[in-house]
Amino acid sequence: MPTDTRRISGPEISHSPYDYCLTPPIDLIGADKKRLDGRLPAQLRPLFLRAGVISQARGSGYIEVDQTKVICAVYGPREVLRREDFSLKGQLTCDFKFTTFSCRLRRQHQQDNQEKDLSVQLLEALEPAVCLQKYPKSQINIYVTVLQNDGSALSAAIICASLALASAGIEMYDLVLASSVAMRDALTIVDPTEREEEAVLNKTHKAELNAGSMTVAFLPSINQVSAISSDGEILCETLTKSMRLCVENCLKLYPVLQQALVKHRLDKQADTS
Amino acid sequence: MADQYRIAQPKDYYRQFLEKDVRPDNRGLGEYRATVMNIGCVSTAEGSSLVKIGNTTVMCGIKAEVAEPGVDGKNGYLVPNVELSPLCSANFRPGPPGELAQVLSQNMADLIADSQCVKLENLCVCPGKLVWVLHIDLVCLDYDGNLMDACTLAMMSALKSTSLPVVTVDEESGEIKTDPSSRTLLPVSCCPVSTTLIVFDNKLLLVDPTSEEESLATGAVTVVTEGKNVCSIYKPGGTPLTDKQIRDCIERGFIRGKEARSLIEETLCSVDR
Amino acid sequence: MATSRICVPGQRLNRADDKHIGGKGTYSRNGFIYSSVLGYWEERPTNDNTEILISVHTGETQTVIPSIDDIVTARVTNVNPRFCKCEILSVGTTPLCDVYRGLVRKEDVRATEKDRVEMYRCFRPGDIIIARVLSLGDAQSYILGTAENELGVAIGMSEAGVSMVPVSWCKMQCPKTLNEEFRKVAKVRPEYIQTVHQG
Repeated sequence: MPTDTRRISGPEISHSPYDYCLTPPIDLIGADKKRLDGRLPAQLRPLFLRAGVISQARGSGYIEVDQTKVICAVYGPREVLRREDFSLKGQLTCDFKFTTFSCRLRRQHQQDNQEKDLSVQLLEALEPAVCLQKYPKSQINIYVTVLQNDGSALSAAIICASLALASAGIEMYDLVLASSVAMRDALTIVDPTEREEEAVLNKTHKAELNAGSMTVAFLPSINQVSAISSDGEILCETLTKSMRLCVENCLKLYPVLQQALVKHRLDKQADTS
Repeated sequence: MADQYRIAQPKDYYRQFLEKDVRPDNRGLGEYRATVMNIGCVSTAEGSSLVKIGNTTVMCGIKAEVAEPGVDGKNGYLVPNVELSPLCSANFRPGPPGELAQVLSQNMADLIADSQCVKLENLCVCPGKLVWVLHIDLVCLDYDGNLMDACTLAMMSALKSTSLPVVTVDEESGEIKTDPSSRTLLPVSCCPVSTTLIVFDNKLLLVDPTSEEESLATGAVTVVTEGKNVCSIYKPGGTPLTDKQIRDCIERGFIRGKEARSLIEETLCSVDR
Repeated sequence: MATSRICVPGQRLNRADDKHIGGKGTYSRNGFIYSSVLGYWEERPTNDNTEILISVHTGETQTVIPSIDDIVTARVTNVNPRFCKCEILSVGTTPLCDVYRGLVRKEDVRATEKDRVEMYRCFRPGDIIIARVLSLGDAQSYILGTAENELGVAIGMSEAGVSMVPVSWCKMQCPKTLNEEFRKVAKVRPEYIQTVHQG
């Protein structure tokens, strides 16, 4: 590992204390047909959304899906600094980061491959919704930081970023919603937690053909899917079924996002008057 | 129009207010912004806290790992790092930490070393075999000045709330075992608090500067107090100060120290540990 | 009819027929008018009363970027014989969230005697100027012009570092040293001066 001279570094090799204790494999669903946290397979976690949490940013949002906590800031439209990046159409950039303490195991300060991958997925989910031609010569920067990850971080990030974009007054064709599911065999669970996500992709479990997770980003008013990403091996039939389930769940979240925006607008008006 | 004047002639804009001993945000010269604290907000970290001073927001997460000790055989490691991500202000860009972040990280490390609030020998699991490594990561979520005070407050409150799982090393086999169900509190012997003031127009002292005030400052002083003692005074260049002014700064430091410590205690009592 | 309902991006506002047209903050798609921003829904008859204009107002949180023909306020950062560089601070009365780079070329400084313009006698670093956006320019900067009476230096910084008082269309005086310095002075509208001094 390359040494980082700009940070204070600890010993070269260190381990998580939890490496030395047994974590028993979990059952996705118990005998009472309920999941570990007591939810039914098709039950979403409660959602908390708030806009305007970062004073320095043009727009910002915070989302809490039970234990998953994500914060997002939108800066811009601002000038493109590098000459080669110049274009008459606006640009959108996304930066996805987990804080070092957000997961069960410590993460590194530098952006790793998973974070880079999630940045691109986030960008692809949001780009179709933004009227980029209205911002010539400019770029809009979206920074997402996961403060705590308890599964479905990407879908939380997409909702949070779309909230932040709208609160920044950026012109958009539509809001973006997202939802995740995890599948194993005949079982499909919505809005999986981190342990459930892990259990689904666990190689030791002898899953026949269906084992994986998927995230769908959806534009509710235009009625279009802007991004799908899936992990693992899933039957085609299950995949289409799950996608429909995701879209349905997205529509359930739509009023929550709308209300958060209306509340933000009213708060702002109350501030100025 | 006032906004435009503020952008075009910030110094003159401030002078108008300061003549009347008031700041543009209605504070007196020696007045702190409202300070809010939340402890234990990230359950994936061994210790965590969120501190808001006005708009400035800092989150601290402490992640514990185990490692082999250095040559002395019993001292653990404390690794503080401050992350100024592009999320918190338009002035920061993605990439390795800038000068300010590096300085703050070092300040935090000095603060721990000077005050001896956490003794390194207390971080020993098994002499000669295993010690704790505490990664103290401070993430700035909203940069509106006076990060130094927000960081110390966040770090100290997170340290005070840190609890470690019980780890044992088998004498003979050297096998490491972790019992995540029983936890012990990290011993923290004292609680240093920093107070930052800036110098405006080479003469006026302003407590708890916003980012705008920081950019107009001709100098800054940070006083760290612990109980009835001064732990350190940090004055990186800038306007030379008179004896009386320095004493004034120290006086303010004591007042702030008392307030901040009782805030930490109150918050610790209010959260269920 | 004026309604003050809040709408979110993507919200369908009305049919886009010959009676209704979409204004600011809206877009049309498949025969419908949708909102494109978070803001207040407003319906107003057009001037000739034949159509209804539907627009969405974002209020004070307008997101602006400089576009052609806008009047902008900028701070001069760099002057050389051919052009001067500046940072655009606000468009109209709306401050920008981030500065954009602008450029005033020698030939765009004033309308007459263009060939006799000397840049150093028009602008100095630190001056606050009012200018019009002439074109989006190149990758580097916007092209600005000051070839109008109302455009040019609004607040001039003297060598002593004090803001100066205009004495003619090409001169400003420093209140501290009483030195006169050359500038392309803007004939600032009186209402602007008043508000500035009120802070």
